Amino acid sequence: MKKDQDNIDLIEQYLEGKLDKESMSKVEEHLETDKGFAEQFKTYKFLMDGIKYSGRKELHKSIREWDKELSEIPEETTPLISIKNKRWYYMAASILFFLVVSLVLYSNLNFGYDRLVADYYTRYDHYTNTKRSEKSEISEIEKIIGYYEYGEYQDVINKIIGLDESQKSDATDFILANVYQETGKYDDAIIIYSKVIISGNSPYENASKWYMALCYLSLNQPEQAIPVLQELENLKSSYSIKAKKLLQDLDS
Amino acid sequence: MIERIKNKDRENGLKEIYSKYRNEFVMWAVRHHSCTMEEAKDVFQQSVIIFYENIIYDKVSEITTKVKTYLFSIGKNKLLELMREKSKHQSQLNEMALVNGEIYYDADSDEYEDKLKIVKACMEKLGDPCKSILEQYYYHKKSMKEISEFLDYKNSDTVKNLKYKCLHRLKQICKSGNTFNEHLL
Repeated sequence: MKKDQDNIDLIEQYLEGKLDKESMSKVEEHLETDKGFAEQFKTYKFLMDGIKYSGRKELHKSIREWDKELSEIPEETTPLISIKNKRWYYMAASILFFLVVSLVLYSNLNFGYDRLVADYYTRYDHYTNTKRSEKSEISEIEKIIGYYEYGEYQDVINKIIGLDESQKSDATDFILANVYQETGKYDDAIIIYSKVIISGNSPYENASKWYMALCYLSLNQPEQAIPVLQELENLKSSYSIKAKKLLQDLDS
Repeated sequence: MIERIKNKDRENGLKEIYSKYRNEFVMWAVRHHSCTMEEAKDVFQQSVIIFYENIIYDKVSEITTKVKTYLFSIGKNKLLELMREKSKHQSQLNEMALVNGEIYYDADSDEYEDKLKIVKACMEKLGDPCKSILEQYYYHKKSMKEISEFLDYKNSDTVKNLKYKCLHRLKQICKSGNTFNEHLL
């Protein structure tokens, strides 16, 4: 047992490069001449690699959990607290009052963008409905547009995520971004609008810019929205006039 | 930040980095590397792991640039790997990622990874506290003293003895699975 433990220590130190040159050479010599030690070396190296692999996978699992926390919108929960001491009760009430006042002030400060977005935002509803013959089957994109029109957004997301790469296009990206915007996931929507814009020559490029600017305003980031709107204003598109007007409203 | 991650605040330190830079990385990756959002997220998660491993395995003692620049450099290399994998120009991922002129990460080959999965399954069977002790020692590079404090053991000698027993038990569990020896060869 003791010898076994000593060998494990030696193998560990060798693998981590912690031995001096002379000891390293001895281990290597030992590996060539002692079959039993060579077997032991192979086994423990494999086990150690496996343990590291297991540790890495556990860390990855934790990161995925953190990711879920980030993606999910935190729900407000009201803890049930029994008030045993009136002093705590008054303190809690004061904090609550302070929070409410801050919230009202904060809401008022940011109300302008919410109102502006409400004035300018209308859901994109110009998807082309291709008519098909009675015999032909409904295509995936038609199903997606159908779900979208009826506001079944989770179905839209599931359908698009489940598509093969070959079936995905800037149209499906744009619909997905619309859905994220409709459901208040502005960060996700912005990422996908950017993708459509960058893809180049998409029929949805200008629409993506317009809706992306509105997402930025929903996130109270006018400094991000303004350059996008200015770009739109200078283009000859149906969004130029709207962009110009929105810029004027933002300026006033 | 490196000291914080190396010492006792690994989880919070890494979580802070992940939360701070995830969105920016994903947006940047989607914009510049034509990958999906899910792919970008996965690459970023792998990059955070590599970042962590480079710190604990002393492959980097100090970061001369900002944490963000360093992390994004790792991410960029991982994205290039992904692109290569996608276009099937390179079948093996067993290559070194170069960041700031230094070698940092050697990915396991798929075949070897399949073998390591067997040990992971054995680790699950082994359970705690052995699983924790072995992972803390071999993966997170914690000292016996740190593990004894973390797992509330009397002293580091107790943990050291336990570590040998756990390793021995792990070997037994893997061997009992019959496939161990054939995978080892």
